[in-house]
Amino acid sequence: KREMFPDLAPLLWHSFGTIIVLLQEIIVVYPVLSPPTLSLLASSRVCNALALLQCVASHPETRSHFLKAHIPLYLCSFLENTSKTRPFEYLRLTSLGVIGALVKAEGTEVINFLLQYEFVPLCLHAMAVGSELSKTVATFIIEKIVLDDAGLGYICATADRFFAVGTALAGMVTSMDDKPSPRLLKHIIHCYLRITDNPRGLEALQTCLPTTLIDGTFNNLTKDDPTMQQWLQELLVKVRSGKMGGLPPPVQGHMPRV
Amino acid sequence: MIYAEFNCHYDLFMYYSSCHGLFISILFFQAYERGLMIAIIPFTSKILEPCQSSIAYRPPNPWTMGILSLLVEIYNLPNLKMNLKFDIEVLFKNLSVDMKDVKPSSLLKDRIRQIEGNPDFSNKDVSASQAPVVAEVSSGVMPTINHVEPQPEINSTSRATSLPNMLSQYAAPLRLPTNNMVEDDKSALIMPEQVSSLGLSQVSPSQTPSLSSSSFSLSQLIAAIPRADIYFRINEKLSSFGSLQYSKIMDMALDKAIKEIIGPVIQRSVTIASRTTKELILKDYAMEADDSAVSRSAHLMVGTLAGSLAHVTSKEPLRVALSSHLRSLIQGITNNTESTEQIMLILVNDNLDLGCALIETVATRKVGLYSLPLY
Repeated sequence: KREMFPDLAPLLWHSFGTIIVLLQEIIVVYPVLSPPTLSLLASSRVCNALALLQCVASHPETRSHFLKAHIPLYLCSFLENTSKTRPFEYLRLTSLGVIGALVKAEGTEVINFLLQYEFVPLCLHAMAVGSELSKTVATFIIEKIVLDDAGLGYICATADRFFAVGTALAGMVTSMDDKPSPRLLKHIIHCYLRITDNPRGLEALQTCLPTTLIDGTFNNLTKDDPTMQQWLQELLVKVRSGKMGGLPPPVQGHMPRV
Repeated sequence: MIYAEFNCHYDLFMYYSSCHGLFISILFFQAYERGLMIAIIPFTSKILEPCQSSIAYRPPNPWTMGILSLLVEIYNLPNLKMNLKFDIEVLFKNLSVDMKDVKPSSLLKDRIRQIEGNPDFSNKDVSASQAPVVAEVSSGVMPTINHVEPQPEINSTSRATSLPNMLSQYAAPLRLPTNNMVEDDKSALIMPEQVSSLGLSQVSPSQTPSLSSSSFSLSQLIAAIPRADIYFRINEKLSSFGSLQYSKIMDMALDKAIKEIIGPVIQRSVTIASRTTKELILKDYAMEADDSAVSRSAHLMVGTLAGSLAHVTSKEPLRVALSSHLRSLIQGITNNTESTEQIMLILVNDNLDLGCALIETVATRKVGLYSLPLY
C-alpha cells in the first residue's frame, strides 16, 4: 500500500509516536535473534515495520531526520545475524532494503553515515551468508559506497579493509560458477572497476582478481549486456596494464525491487 | 346460499364490511396520526357492540379480538382524554371482556402523531411522551491528545532465565571483520565532537553534562552490576565434577568477561539511544507544556532503547570473552582438552543470557544518571 501514498513518509515522521512505535517493533524481536528462534509470523511483522521505515529513508524530506535520529543503527543486529532460515533471510533482506533506500540519494551525507557507523562490514557479511537477492542488495550498497570518493578512500585505506572487501567480492564470483546471476555479476564488476581508480586498489587487484573474470567464464552473460561487457573489458585492460583510467562511467545500475 | 348462513341483518352487514375492506385498524392509524380518534373510537364501539349477540363475531373471534387489542394499546397511551378512556371501558363491559385479559397490541409505537391542537390527548406533560432529542455533536470540541509512552521492557532477569537454552556442539562462527580491523575502524572514525556532547548545537558543550569517554569509567559501570540475586545454571551433566566448583568458576569467568566488554557496549548503546530519544521526543512533544511529562517519556524511552541495544550488542562479544576465560579456568582442574571444550560450551550456553541481562540492567541504569539535554 506504500505506493498509493507518495507523501506517506512525512505523515509517518511527523505524526505523534509513530516512529517510536516502529522502534518498539524492532527491539521486541532482539531476544529471539540468538539463539535463533524467530518465527515467520514475527519476522513478517517486524519486516512490515521496516518497510514503513524504508519509506522514511527514501523520502527527501525525512531522510536527514532519519539519519540524525540514528534509526539505521537499530538494524545492525539484524544484519549481523548468521542464520540462513527463511525468517532470518527475510529480515536480512528487508534491513538491507532500508540501507539500500538510503544510498540511492545523491550527496555524501548517507555515505559518511554508513562509513562512520561501520555498515561496510555488515554488508560484507550479507554478501557472505545471504541469499542471491540479499547478496545483490548488499553489493549494490557497496557499489554506491565505492563510487563515492570518501567511500573509495575508506575501502583502500588499509590492507585489512581492502582484503575484507576483496574476499567478499571474490567469494561471490567463485560461488557463481554453477548458477550465475547477471545482475549480481554486474554490480561486482562495477565495484572492481571503481576500485581500480585508486592506485593502491589497482595494485592489489593485479594479484587477487578472480580468474573466472579473466578466462571468459562469464562471456555468455556479458554479451547480453553491453554496459557490463564494457565494464569488464575496461577492468581487464586496467589490471593487465597497471594504468588508471579517467573518470568512471556514469552509473547505470538500478536498485533491485525489494 | 349465502343468505341461509346468517340469522340477521347485522351479520350480513359485518360480512360485507370485512369483505369489502372496512379495515378498522387502518382507520385507527390515520385517526391516531391526525387526532381523529375522538370520532373513530365511538364509531368502533357502536360497530362492535352488537358482536355480543352474534354467533360469528362474538369474542374470541380473531377479527374482533384484534380490534380489542388495539383499543387496549390506545387505552394505555399516556395523557389519553378521559372521555375516550370511558368509551373503551364501556365497550369492554358490554362485550363482557375483562381488559386485563386482552394483550395490548404494539401497532402505534412507530407512528408519529400530530401534537398541536390534538383533541385526543390532554395538554399537560406533552413533552414527556416525546422521544428524547438526540444531542448534536459539537464540532468545536477537540479530542484529547493521548500520550502513549513506550512501555518498559520485561524484567531483564526473568527474561534471561526464561529464555530457552540450546546446547550447541559447535562454537559460533567468528564474524567479519577481524578484531584488529575493528580497532582500526574505531580509531579512524570516531569523531571527538560526536562523543563529547549530545547537546543541541546552540548549547555550549561545556555547559551540559557530557557523555564523553571519561564518564564511562570502568569502576562506575562495575559498581552498577547487580550482584545480590545472581545464580548460575549448572547442567546436571556436570554434577559429577561438583556443582559448587563450577558455580565458582562461572562467577569468576563471567566477572572477568563482563569487565572486559562492558565499557564499549554501554558507551555505544547509551550514545545511540540518547541521540534517538532526543530527536524523537523533541519532535513528538514539541507542543507539550508539561516539562515533567516530557522528561518522564524521555527517560522511559532512552532506558528501554539503551537496555535492548546493550543486550543484543553484547551477546557475541560476551560469548567470546566468556568462552576464553572459562577455558583457561577449566583447564586448571582437568587435563582432558576435549572435556574442557564440552564443559565450557555447556556453561556458556546455559549462562550467556544471564550475562547479557546484567549488561542490559547496567545500560538501563547508566542512562538514568544523566538528564538528557532536550532544550
